[in-house]
Amino acid sequence: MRQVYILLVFDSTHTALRSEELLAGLDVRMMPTLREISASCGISLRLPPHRRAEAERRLQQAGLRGWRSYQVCAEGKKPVCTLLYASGGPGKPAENP
Amino acid sequence: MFINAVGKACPIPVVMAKKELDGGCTDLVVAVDNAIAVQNLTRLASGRGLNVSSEEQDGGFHVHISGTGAPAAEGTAPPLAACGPQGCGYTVFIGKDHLGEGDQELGYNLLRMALFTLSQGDTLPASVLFMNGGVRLPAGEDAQVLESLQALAGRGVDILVCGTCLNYYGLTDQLKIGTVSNMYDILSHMQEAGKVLSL
Repeated sequence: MRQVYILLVFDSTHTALRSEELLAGLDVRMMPTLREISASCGISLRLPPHRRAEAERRLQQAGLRGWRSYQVCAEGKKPVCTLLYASGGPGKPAENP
Repeated sequence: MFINAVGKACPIPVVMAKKELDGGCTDLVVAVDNAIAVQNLTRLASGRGLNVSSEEQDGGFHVHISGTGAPAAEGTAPPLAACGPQGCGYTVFIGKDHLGEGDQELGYNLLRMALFTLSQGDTLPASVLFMNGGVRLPAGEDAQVLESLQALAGRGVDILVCGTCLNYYGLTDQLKIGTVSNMYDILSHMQEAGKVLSL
């Protein structure tokens, strides 16, 4: 069965935990960071695609940095991950590829 | 067709049943003497889209498998519980509401993720057993935890929750998912399992 979802990954565990609070009500589920994605932090937040815009808006509004959003297509064993947005790490400007 | 697999060590009952089913048998009764063998036979049949039922008989169990079924799509058949020298399958024991020692918030979230990962995985435990502070999870309000436990239960995993512990914490009326259980049942699940993962 094909599943498509948004995955937020973080440079820091503390940012991940704080983000979950900020994203309350957006059907967020906490899960381990996928092996296919390289991130310093093992905690990721998964949410439905239609929640993406609001989630990114809240994280940006809170001034959080060091996070990225991916679209994940899970079908079969190996999920396909596409980078959608990177907030930029500390000292880097935010970029939107 | 009747197979007497009483006294046969796991996974022999499954191997015997599989041989007959592969040979074209469409109506099979397998006599076994333990619940894990019933689970494994049930998974074998479900994975092939066959009808399966079991009943206690003569101090053991009769598992009735029938139908021609349809081959399950690749990757959708529930895996058979792994067997080791000690027994079959594995069970997960959760005796507290956090994983590991250290920061409580981190430990709680690690456990949430562990349950999520378990519920999404291919290799399911036969049961998840909650005792002491662990009972706060199936009796709590955390939507993600309850969803993971629901998914496990929906895939045939037994969720057993210590009744004494629920009572001690005043949570008896709060249990959202799982079966209230006791020391005898919980211990026998651990004893029958090939291995026990303690989280």
